[in-house]
Amino acid sequence: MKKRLMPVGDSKRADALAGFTERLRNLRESGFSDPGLISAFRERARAAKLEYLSRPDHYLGMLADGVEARGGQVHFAADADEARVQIKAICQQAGASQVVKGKSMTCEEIELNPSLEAAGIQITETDMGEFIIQLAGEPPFHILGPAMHKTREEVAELFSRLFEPVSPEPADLTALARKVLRRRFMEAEVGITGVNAMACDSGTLAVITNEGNGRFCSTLPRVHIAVMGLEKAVPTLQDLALISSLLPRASLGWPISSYVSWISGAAGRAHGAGPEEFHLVILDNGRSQALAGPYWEILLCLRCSSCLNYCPVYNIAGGHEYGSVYAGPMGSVLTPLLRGGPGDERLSQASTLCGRCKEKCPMGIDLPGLLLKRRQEQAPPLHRLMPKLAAEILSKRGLFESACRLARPLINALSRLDDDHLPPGPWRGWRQGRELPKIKGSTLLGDLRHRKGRENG
Amino acid sequence: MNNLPTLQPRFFATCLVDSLYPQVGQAALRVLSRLGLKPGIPPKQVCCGQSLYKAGQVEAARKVARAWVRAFSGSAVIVSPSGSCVAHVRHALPQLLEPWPELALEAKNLAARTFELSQFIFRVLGRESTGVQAPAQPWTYHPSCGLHRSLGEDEAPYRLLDGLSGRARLELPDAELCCGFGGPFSVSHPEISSRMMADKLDAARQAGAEVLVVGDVGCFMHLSCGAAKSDPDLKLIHLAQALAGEEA
Repeated sequence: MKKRLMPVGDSKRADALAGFTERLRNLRESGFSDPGLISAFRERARAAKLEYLSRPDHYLGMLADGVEARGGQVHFAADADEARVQIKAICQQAGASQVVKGKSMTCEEIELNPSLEAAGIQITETDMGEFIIQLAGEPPFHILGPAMHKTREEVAELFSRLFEPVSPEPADLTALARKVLRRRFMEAEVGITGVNAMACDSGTLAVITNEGNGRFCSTLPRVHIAVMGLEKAVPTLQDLALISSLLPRASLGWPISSYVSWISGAAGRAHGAGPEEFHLVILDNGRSQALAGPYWEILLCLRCSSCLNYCPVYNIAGGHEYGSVYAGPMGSVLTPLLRGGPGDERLSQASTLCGRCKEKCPMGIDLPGLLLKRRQEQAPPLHRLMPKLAAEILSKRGLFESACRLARPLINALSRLDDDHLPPGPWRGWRQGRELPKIKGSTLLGDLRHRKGRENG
Repeated sequence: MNNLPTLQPRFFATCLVDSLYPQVGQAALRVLSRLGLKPGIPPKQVCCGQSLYKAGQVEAARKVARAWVRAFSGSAVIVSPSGSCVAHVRHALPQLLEPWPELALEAKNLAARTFELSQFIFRVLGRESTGVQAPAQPWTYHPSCGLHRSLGEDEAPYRLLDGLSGRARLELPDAELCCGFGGPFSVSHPEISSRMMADKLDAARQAGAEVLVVGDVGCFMHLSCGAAKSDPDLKLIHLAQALAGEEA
């Protein structure tokens, strides 16, 4: 993260990010700031999730029974690769050449689109933001606003190049997107959506959107595939209602979102409308292992994006700097659990541990605590001498006073050097935008002793 | 908290005040003596180990924690001018010392008796004023995450600062935003850290302040070093100095 900071010159993007998260924070504060209500929701939602996570096998069996009883099929995918293979097979069996897709972080996680495209299947993102970044060939910038870093001028230019000339007016841009997407919806044989939450007692899933595209994807094509992270289930329909209301409250301060679809299995004969086939793909990809480990609490995450919106570091760094589809504090905890790739160990350092994320998390996840735990696990062996030395100095009064005396000429010497001549060390980072502190050489306690000695003497 | 016996407090300076900002410690001691107290100063006192702990160095933090508990053992009340150090003493020390049951018990005992300065004055002594003048120049206050969030103390410093006579405190925009210090974060991510710092200093200027009062010693160091480079006319003082009537 250190080396990939948002270009300092890119003030347009920084302004767009600041404006976007500020709007979300304002919405949330105006609609969901009563501490009593927040803690009531938090307690109930945590209890529901904890109950599910305490017996996931039991509940997932129940969930699968419910889905199958309503004509759906359930597929368990151990990892991203298995999920991609399963989804591709379902599409191929359906004879699909066109697939429409609702916004899904889980599908981003398994990098679904390239694998379907490689199989000759055209996949179209139908959420406006996802549609834009798909066309631009970029990863999402924010859970809720994947294309929030794009100005409307940039979007107009992109659309004009790919479709037809269009003005940067939002109404014109959405009208054009609608025109393009409407045709794709009509032609698609398969619709793919994510799952925001799912009730095990009845096998009912919730797809919550603001644009209605998720409902379109899950109703119009002949086949509906829903892709769910293992942790998204809750025991009962009542719990599903709770999460369906808590999620938009936490994200936007709204008691309910514009479109809330609850889907149980395939349409079947009784309904006569909707998809004939329903497939639920349940993705593990490191989740069961995470559940058994010290970071299990992150599995309570609803993906509401609050921790991103309130994180001062995310607000400066931006979504792409985390190098994962999951950015911000929740991403820094979750990403290493899902893939544990090279560079992920740095994510735990990308926080001041200020605690604002924990304060705003609707599930009360101790995000700073989890990041700290990761730091402890990763404390680099190379630096072992330094902490040892620091511990010696800081734990012994006499050594501490000597170190202060010795540090005085050292710090003074470093302060006199200009940036180009600074030797490597922590002072290099510190000197970016800051002077080194001034040190007297004597300590407060030394001064007090001295003064007392004089008074007595 | 009001039921604690009104015994003489012991003063925990913190390593940063001890080594870099003795004037902050002197100010805190002046405030306490002005309130009629004679704080003791444990002569063997050391750092609490917070910075090592937050860098993930548990074993090093443990070693320092043991020395801290031994130095303060038997204290009736401990007062310190740093919310984040007090939060570390309260929340982390008992758990860090679990391998040594006797020390862990003592740590737990001390944790319940350790207070940040403004918290001690407002909650333990029940005082709403330190009886001095506010800074003479326009001033504002940065609450600091350690005091505000880790200790959950969002009342005491405001009550005492607003109890100063003279010039009233200006509201700091986005006051509860972190200043970007975060210990190791400030050197591992210097660009982001110093941008957060610049935003904080700008906010103080936006409020119209010429003096910025800072609640925690870590943030105080960070913001002071930043202002020294980018805004040397902005005067920074620690909460203890404001409560002692400095800059009045």
